Formats: sequence, C-alpha cells, structure tokens
Amino acid sequence: MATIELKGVEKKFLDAYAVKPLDMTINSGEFVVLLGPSGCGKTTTLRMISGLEAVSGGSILFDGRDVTWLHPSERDIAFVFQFFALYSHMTARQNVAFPLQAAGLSKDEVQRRVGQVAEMLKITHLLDVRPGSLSGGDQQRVALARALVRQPAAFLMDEPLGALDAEFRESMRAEIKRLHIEQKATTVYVTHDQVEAMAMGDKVVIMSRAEVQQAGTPAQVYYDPSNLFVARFIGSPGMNLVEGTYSNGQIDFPDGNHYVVPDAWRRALEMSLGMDGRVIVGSRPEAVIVSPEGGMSASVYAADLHGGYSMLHLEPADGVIVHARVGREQRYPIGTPVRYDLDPALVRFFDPQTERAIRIDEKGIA
Amino acid sequence: MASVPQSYQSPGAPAKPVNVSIRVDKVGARPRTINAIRAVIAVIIACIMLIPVVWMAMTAFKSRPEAVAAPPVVFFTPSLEGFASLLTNRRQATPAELEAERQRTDLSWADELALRRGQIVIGESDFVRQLINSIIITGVSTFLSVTLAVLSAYAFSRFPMPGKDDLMFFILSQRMLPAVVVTIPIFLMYRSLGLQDTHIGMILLYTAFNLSFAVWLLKGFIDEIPREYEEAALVDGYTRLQAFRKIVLPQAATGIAATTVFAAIFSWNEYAFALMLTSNVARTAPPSIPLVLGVGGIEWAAIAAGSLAFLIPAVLLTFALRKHLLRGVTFGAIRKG
Repeated sequence: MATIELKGVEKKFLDAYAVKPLDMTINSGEFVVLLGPSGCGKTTTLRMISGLEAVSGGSILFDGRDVTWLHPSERDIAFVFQFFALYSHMTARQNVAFPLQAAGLSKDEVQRRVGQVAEMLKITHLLDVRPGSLSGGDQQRVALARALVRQPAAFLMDEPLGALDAEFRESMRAEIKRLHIEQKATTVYVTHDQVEAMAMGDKVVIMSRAEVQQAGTPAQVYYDPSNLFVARFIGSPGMNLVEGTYSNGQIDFPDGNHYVVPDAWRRALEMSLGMDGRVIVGSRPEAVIVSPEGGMSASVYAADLHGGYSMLHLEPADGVIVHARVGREQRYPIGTPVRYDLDPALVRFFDPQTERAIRIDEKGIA
Repeated sequence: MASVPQSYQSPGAPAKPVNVSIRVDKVGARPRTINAIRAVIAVIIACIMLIPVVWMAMTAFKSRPEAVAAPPVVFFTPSLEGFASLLTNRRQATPAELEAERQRTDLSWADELALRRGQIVIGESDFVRQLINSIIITGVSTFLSVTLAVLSAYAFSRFPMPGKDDLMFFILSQRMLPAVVVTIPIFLMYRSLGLQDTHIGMILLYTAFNLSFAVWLLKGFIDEIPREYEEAALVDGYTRLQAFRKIVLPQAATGIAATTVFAAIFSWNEYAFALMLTSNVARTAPPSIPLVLGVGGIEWAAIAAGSLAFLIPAVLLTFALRKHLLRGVTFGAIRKG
C-alpha cells in the first residue's frame, strides 16, 4: 500500500482554478475523505491522483516515485465510480476479471482471485449474472470486487454510495469501512455527505472554492474548525455562531447577554482581535448547557425530539438562534425563558474579519 | 483476510440472482391477450407490406405470357425463363439455325429456354459482373466509411479540440449538395485523374459521401456511452486503444450496426453517380437493371429476376445485423428515460 503525496498540485480550466495549489500527504493504509459541496474541486483532485485528469502544475508522488505524468494504467490504482461503470456487455465475473486480464495473469490464477474476492464480498452467487439485472447495492459490490481483485497500491472512490438508496447506503458504508480495515488499503474517498465522511474517514479534508479549508481527524474538524466555513459546514445543525464585542474578559452580545471568557482564552483574544474587539463565538449544540445557573438568557423558539436527545432552538434575541442539545426527558414548551452557558472546554472563537479560528498555542495566540 | 459476516447482505437485496424479468406487463391473462392481438395486427400489416415484394418474386419465376397475363396469374408453374433472359444475350434465329440447334445434345438450360422462344444465346450478359461490382464497391466503401467514422466520432466525442462545433458542421455540410449537382464536376475531375469507371474511384466517392452522415450518427451513439466505462478500463491497466477496442466498440455495437446498414444501403442503391461515372468496368447493378429490357418487348420476368437478385444482399445484411438493430431500438428508448 502506497503513501500518496501531492505537492503544489493545481488544476486550471482556462484562467479559473478548479483546484488551487494543494499540498497533502496520504499515509499508507490511511482512509482519507475529501469532503465539500459540489464544485469545490474534490472530484478533480481525486481524478488528478488517478491520472484521469492532467495536472496544471505541481507533482504527485506514490511512495516517493513521481507519477505526475504517468498514464492511469501505470499507477497501480483502482477507481470506484459513483455510477459503478460496470460493463453491461460482460457478466459480473468477466467484469471482476477484467483488470486481471490486463495484467496478463493465467486463466487459473484469474479464476482463483475472482473466486476469492467474490467470497469476501458475498457475491459468488451473482458472478454469472449481467450487471443490468443486479440491484444497486450488488452492482456496487461487483464494482468493489473489480477494484479489490488486483490488490492495487491505492483505492480511489468517487461518491461510491451516492447512487444507492438510503437503506443500502448505510450497510455499504459499513462494508467499505470493514474492507478498508481488513485490507489496510490506502483509500481516498470523495463525498459531499458529511455523515459519511465523519463515519468513515481517518482523516477528513474539507474543500470549498477550489481550496482545502481544513484537514484533520473527524474530531478535529468537528470540535476545532479552522474557519467559519468548516464551522458551518460540519455538523447538523452547524456550529452556533454569534457575533459580539470583547472587552475586559467579557463578550457583550447585541441581545444584552454577556459571556465571561474562560481565562485560558483571554490572552489569545486580546492578541488577535482588532481594535473594535469584534469576535464570533462558536459553540456546538452539545457545548450549550441549559441550566438555571447559566449566565445568559433566552427563550425557547422550538424544540425537536430526535429520539435519543432533543434539539432546543433558543432565541436570545430576534433573529438569532442558538441550538442546544439536551436530554430527551427534558421538556421545554415554546416561549419558556431559559438560562444557558457555554462549556468552557468546547467554546471556540473566530475573527469576523479573516473568518479564521483564533487558537491558543504556547504563546497564547494563533 | 476475514470474511464479511452474512448479516452484511443488504436488506432487501435479492438473495439469488434475478435472471428473469418480473415486469408486471409480462404476466397475467389480460396483457397476454393484448400481446396476442398486437402480434396478429403486426402480421397483417407485414403481409400487406410484403405483397409487392412477393409479387416481384413471383414474376421473376413466371414465363413471358404469364407475366403479362390479364387478369394476373397467381398459380403457375415456375420457370427460369426470366433468369435465362437476365443472364444471357440472345438474338432471333433463322429457321435453319433453330433446326441445327435442336439437333444438338449439349444444350444448357438457358440455351433450351431461348430455343423455345426461337432465340439462340450469343453470350453471357453483364448482370453477374455488375452485381459483383456492386457487392465489392458497397462492401469496401461501407467498411471504410464506418471504420473511419467510428474513429473520428470517438475523437469528437471524447477529446477537447479547437473549433469542434465548426468541424462537425463542416463534416455535415459535405452532404448538403445533392448528388446530381456535383456529378458533373466529379465526372470531369475523375476523367483527368483516371478514376473514371474504376472500382477505386467509386469506393472513394461512396466512402466520402457516407462519411459525414456516419460520423454524425456514430457520435450520437458514442456520446451515450458513459466516459466512466473507459476510465475504469484505463485505471485497471489498459491503454486508451485497448479500452476503445474492449469497451467502446462492444458498447457501440448497436450504433455501428445501424450505421453500417445505412451506409451499405446508400452505396447499394446509388444511381446518379454510378450512371455518370461508370460504363463497362465498374458499372454497378442499379443503372443496369432498367436496361434489361430484352429483345422484342419488355421482359418483365427478367426485370423482376434482376430486382430480386439485387434485393437479396440488402435483406441478408439487415437480417445478419437484426439483433443489434432491434437492441438499438429498445435500448435507445430506455436510456433516454
């Protein structure tokens, strides 16, 4: 399994960037998810790694070997497409055997490997059927078998579950994750579904407007978004973002509430903020603690029951909504005045000017 | 390599392969009746459509009096008189010659048929040679135009190129002038180039004429084949050419078959160029069939025999490709939806 390095890789169509210069290292055996809204350049990035799209600049290395200008067939990769791309004029068996025939393996070896991978994906009984008469999930299993059978250096998957029904998607997600763990295969996986990305990725790379916004573990991008885009894009609902003004260890909100900034953050805020002290306070719904001792007040705008928990929509002032996650046994009728506070360990701050997160490092600033 | 537990079978996925269609319109008594009625109607329409063809085939096997009889004869004893007239040149014989002819014992079937009508055979007609010319010119020009068109349609469909739309329009415009308009200039050019009345000249001409249409038709078919098919083959270790051969060509089989039939039928039926540009060596069948008029009166049986012989190769070609053509009809309908 290969380590994939992208060094300043970029793609231009005429004068517009599809992917701005990008540096990324995908370690051997890692499952990296490229996540972003449509048109953000994630698929183009994947296609450049595969060689199906030529780069406009930069270089791509597999295990230190420069493959930037190698033909896709010389890169030893497997690609799984959203719409499966199974050859309708061949049976499932012929489809799975197709990459092995390119490698010139003997008939017996081809049959043995096809049988083995079919066993692993539980499609042995489907091998002599043409893809047209298979269900979506089974078609994708055959497509995965075709990718797995050659034991390539890396798997590249372009929204492989996008064409499946919700029901199949969940089980196929688990299957792919499990296969990855068994095979320890370097995998680059493109999706626009953040649930999929968070559930599957060892590392999530969030892209928007042809740029990487943040790369990190699912926990990092969730709890420590590097900018406002990631804060809003990740999570459902996204991070609560309320703008206020910082002075003397306290943030004043336009709604009249005050938030006392945890000591650890004061120095960082003082170092980074502009003269006007404007700051955006970010908090995940689970960081909003609803209790009578809370320092801020709001009224309940709406409450949704999500089975295991409830999502409260709090309205501290007209038009501002703060989501709070509370236990399902707690009932809040609409209009109830409540008091709340933010978990000091989970609260985050953003500069409204640069839209970037303010961080604490050893010097106290980011 | 641990195996995936059984519970990973997707919920609702069929446990066994679905080999038979379970479409609701294929089962039940009512749809079956409707299908039967449809089939009967189709057979009736086919019968009506086929009457002229059947009549032509019957005429080809009639004797001269039967062919022109009024009211028309439906039941008759088949005769090869029409074919004899088609394949030979004859002249009226004097009584002395006829007597000498009757004494001979080495007469062929054509000689005997001529003798009955007071004629003697003076040589083979050109018909067989012209039919062979038609087959050669149609075969080679169809092969060339479809081969070239598949390659260029693939390039037009898959690769970015400057002025692509203009080029496509330019190709189409090659077909805009009617044949009769360009016949004279081509005649003059061919005369100076020495291509007049040659097989190569006709093959070139028909290839050029078919090419524009074939490129357009095939580009449509190739556009319908998802790029991912080839891309999958490319990453799986195949070169572009191998992917083209193993994936694109089989997927485009329907379009290739349809284009082949169109191109072949054009070349096979072409009349205007053939009349102007060929005489003895490369003359094809279409301009010569109307000339099979015979000695002394119109030989309807001979004309019918010639037409029948001319029809058969076209029928055989369409029949050979029927599987692809039919699949094209149904596939097109489904894919669009």
